[in-house]
Amino acid sequence: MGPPQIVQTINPKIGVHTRLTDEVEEWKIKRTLEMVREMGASWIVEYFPWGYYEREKEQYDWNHSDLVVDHALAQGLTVVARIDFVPEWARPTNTTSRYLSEEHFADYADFVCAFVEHFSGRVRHVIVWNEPNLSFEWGYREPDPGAYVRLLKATYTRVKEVDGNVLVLAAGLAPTLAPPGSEWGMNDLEFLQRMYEAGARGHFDGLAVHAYGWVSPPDDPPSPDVLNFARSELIHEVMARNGDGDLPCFITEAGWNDHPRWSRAVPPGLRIEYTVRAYAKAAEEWPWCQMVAMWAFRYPRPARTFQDGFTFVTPGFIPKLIYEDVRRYAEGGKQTE
Amino acid sequence: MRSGEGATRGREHLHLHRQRWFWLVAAIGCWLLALRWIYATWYRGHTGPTWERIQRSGVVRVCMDATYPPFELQDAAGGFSGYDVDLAEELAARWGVDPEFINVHFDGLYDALLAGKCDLLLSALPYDETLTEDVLFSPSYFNAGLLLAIREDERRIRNTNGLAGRNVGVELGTGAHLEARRLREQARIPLEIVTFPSAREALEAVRAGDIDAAIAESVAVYRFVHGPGGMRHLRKFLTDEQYVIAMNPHSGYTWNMITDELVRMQKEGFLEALGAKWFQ
Repeated sequence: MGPPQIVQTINPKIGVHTRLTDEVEEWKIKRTLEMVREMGASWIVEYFPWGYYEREKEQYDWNHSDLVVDHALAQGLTVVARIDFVPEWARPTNTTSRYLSEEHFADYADFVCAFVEHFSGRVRHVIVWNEPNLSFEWGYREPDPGAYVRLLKATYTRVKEVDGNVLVLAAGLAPTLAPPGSEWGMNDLEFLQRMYEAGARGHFDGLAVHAYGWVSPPDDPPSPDVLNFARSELIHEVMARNGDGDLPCFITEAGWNDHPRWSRAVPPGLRIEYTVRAYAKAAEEWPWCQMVAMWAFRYPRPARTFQDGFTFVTPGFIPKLIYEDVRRYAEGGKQTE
Repeated sequence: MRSGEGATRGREHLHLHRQRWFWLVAAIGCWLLALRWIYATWYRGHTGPTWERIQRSGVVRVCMDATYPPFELQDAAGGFSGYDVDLAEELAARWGVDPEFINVHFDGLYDALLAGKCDLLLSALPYDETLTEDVLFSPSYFNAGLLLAIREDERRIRNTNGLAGRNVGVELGTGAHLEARRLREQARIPLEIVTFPSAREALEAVRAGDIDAAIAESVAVYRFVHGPGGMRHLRKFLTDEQYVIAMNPHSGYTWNMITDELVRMQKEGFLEALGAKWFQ
């Protein structure tokens, strides 16, 4: 594990979403997290798939997740755990791992409780599900804010029985302008409002937010009909209108892409500029935002798609220029000209 | 009577002779039928479902993400054009079938292939060694890796060692930038890296004499070298990014047909002509 480390940074809101779920070798897990710390990031968001750790009911295997969490803590990082992916025993055949029926909400809540108990004192932030406003993430069913709130309530209640110090975060919603009745998803602002109407208030301690910039600079103003980084402000406004203005937001996915063949990408130089500015903006202008985790620090292997254009470090641990510029910013230095 | 006996023997001889011919022809006929049956059985067993489907329908279905010029692009009217489109049309013509292009988002290409939506992926698709159990990849038909571009009259830069003490332009933050740093830091060639907002600006700076060389993807280099003139590139690639054609794993015969045609196209200069058409 090595001696305990401390993150040196001028901006404690800097975070990254790691992808260590499928990283097998321990030294690679360790090296990834060392590089996160050396870049000046204090937070990681990591995906802990329920179906990997509870393959049979109440039979838990925490080996891999222990590695990830313990190495992260050794590097002085705070872990935010995203939990979803339904095991086969908790869903009908011919459904996807995103399909969770109401009769299994309690099973999910039980797993999150087991996770919280196992990682007591080590992981203090858990995210309940991911992007439930997308049909894909809701098992190819129509997104249902009411059902999601029932899942959130069930989980929140159970977690608080186990550990009152753990923060339960409502899921990050996919930023989308899907029209009403779309089969693919529901507008994120509308979904959040409908969550409140379904009684979500008081059943989460903070909100995960997804804030991709696509091709817009981070300082572009927000608008309900525009998808950009500042859309996070509109999400926070929905919270404030519903009496939750004091609850923290955690941007658990964000970023720009510099893949040469993706229509929503920007040139690498702009990606660096926008990313550094986004971290600074959260620190300087958004007191309600606790941290910004950019998607995605490194993949275990090349995706060979536009997804590779999101990373900071290659699978072979070669730092991209964006890594070094964020590191320079976190040290208080200037960006590459 | 002798003459009568002789005539009888002659008739018997002729009869035997005819019988022999009959059985010989019958045997040959049986052999031909057997060979035809064996060939048909072998053909069905060895051409595989992809080739059979192409031949039966007279159409080869090609999936591509038509958002990546000059390799593939779809116009407002739905028409496809580009290097890969020409290559697919040539393959189809050599097989005596028609191409049908299907536009699929890059992330969905492999799913489309494995779901049987198309016969081939031909979409500036990089070779992926992690997928060789899932699909068949043709040999490379294009290398999109990094090249070193220099002025036409530059004689001292014959390889990357010649970059010592020279100014090398790259697009900021790209793979070319990483490669220049690798040369400087790992290969310990003391070169000076000069960054530009785009590869084109780096190449223009070389031509203008502001810097000594530029590293860029081959497509950008080919376009520039063929364009304003006064520039050339070293033949050896600094990195490889091999574009290949993908098929489903039961397409061994189709793989052979593609491989044979790519070899012929290379020999006949077709691929070179295609490059000249799309990268000028």
